[in-house]
Amino acid sequence: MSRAAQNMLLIMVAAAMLWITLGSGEYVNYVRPGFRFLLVPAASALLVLGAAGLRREWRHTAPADHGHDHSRGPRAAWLLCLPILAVFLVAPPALGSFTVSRDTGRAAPPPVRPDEGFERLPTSGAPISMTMQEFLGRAWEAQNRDPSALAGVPVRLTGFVAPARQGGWHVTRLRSRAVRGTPCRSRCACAVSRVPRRTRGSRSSASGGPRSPARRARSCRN
Amino acid sequence: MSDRAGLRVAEDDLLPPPDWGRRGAAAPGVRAVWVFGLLAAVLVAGRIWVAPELGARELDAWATIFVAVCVQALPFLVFGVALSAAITAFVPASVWRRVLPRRPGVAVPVAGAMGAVLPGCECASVPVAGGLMARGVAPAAALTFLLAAPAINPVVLVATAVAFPGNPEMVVGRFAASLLVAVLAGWAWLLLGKGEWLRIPSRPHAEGTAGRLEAFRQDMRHDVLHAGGFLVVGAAGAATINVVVPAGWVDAAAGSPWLSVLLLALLAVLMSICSEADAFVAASLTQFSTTARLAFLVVGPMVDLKLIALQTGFFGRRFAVRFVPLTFCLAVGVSVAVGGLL
Repeated sequence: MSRAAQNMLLIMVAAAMLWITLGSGEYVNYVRPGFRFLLVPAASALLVLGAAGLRREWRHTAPADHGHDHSRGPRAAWLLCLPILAVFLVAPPALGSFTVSRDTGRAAPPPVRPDEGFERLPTSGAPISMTMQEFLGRAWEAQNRDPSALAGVPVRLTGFVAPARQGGWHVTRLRSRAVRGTPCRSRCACAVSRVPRRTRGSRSSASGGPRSPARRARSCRN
Repeated sequence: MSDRAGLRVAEDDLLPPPDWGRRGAAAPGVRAVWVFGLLAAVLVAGRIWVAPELGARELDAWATIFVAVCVQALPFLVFGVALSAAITAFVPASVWRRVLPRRPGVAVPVAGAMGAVLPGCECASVPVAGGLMARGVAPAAALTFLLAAPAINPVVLVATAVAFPGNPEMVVGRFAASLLVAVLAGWAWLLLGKGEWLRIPSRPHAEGTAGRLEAFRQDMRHDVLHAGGFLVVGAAGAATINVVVPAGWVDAAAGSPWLSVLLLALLAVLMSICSEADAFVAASLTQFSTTARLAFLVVGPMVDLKLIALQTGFFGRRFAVRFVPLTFCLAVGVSVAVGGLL
């Protein structure tokens, strides 16, 4: 890899990183929004490095004498073209239903119950929105202690919906840690099928992008 | 380049006219401009016409994980490499000799602790350790520094904390296990190692005529590109495990505690990811136990294909044949022990 190619590769990588952060804002498909404060300085550093190299080699055509030969870049560096190509050609969306439907076999860890216990829920009226964590906690308690606690309570959960093998549906959320989309997911879906009287219910609304079929806002009646 | 150097000693009338060399030196640069111009055109065209057509869910998921691992690891890689190149270029090697105690047995843990303070990318730490040995530092201490510097430096620990939020025991475990392995390997080499196995590089890292800033720039460019290439390999591996390999296989492997530790340790060797970046790959392997992922993080910066090649090149084959298995066994054993404690 010639030195000119190394410098231009650095500039390409920097340009791709700046494009996804400042240009298109696609970086939130991959990492948390706060990550841009790391991405932009790093990309700028690469840009400066590549530009300084180009400028230097433009002026000094004679190779600078250096202790060990760094003038020929490592071959492995060409691989850096792959993420650039992926960003521009595939333009990958945030992780969606594919990742969810792939991993329905794993069980959720037993959720933590608040010390004071859960409040009773009304069995009539509009569906109650709750987080998956809270629903899991209540379902766990209903299964182990008081089956009447969740019976007949309309609940609204938000997540990806995937068909379960035994019939019914799994509702899953991808929980992002540092990375949005990298599959650090809480295994909520699987626990749903363990709740006595599996979640059923008609889809109340379905919305989602054209490429990530995220069906949101299912209400379930237990 | 060596051809031209050879020609210089030859007779004057055998030398080509000076402008030949000029044109020859400029040609690859011009070619590279064309290649990258073409690449940029392909990217723009692909963005407009290809990207909207690609809708395969497997490809999308693979590309998302692949790009995500690359994107989040790259800042840490850049900062880590910049610090390590700065230390290589601006801190003279005599500092190390002055700080390290004379007695090798004591120098080993001190060298390990210095690894925690001074960041060194793993590709940089091998030449640095070679330079230390050439300047009279005990080989065992230099080897400890070689193992510790990429594994437990501050940039790596911060990257690990970012990759495993709400999971500080991973950072603690990584620090403790890596430092322990580095010090144990140094002591083991002190007790069992023979001087003849190790070929101490005769020529220390030369400053050259280029000046320190230029050395810094070249080191950093080289290391970013080198480590970046291997990061791409690691990210592709992680994405493949998450998307292509059947989930049942992964779960079966992850279910067996011993198999999962060995599997991830081997994976770390094969993937050769830079230590600044490997925490993000490990974090995406959610199927595996904490101990297995700890083994991945401990083995990766100490033993991998890229390091084996570098160590063989710098210290000789007889050294690598002994030192690499020693480090690998120590790293797996210690990370199992530490992982059990966590």
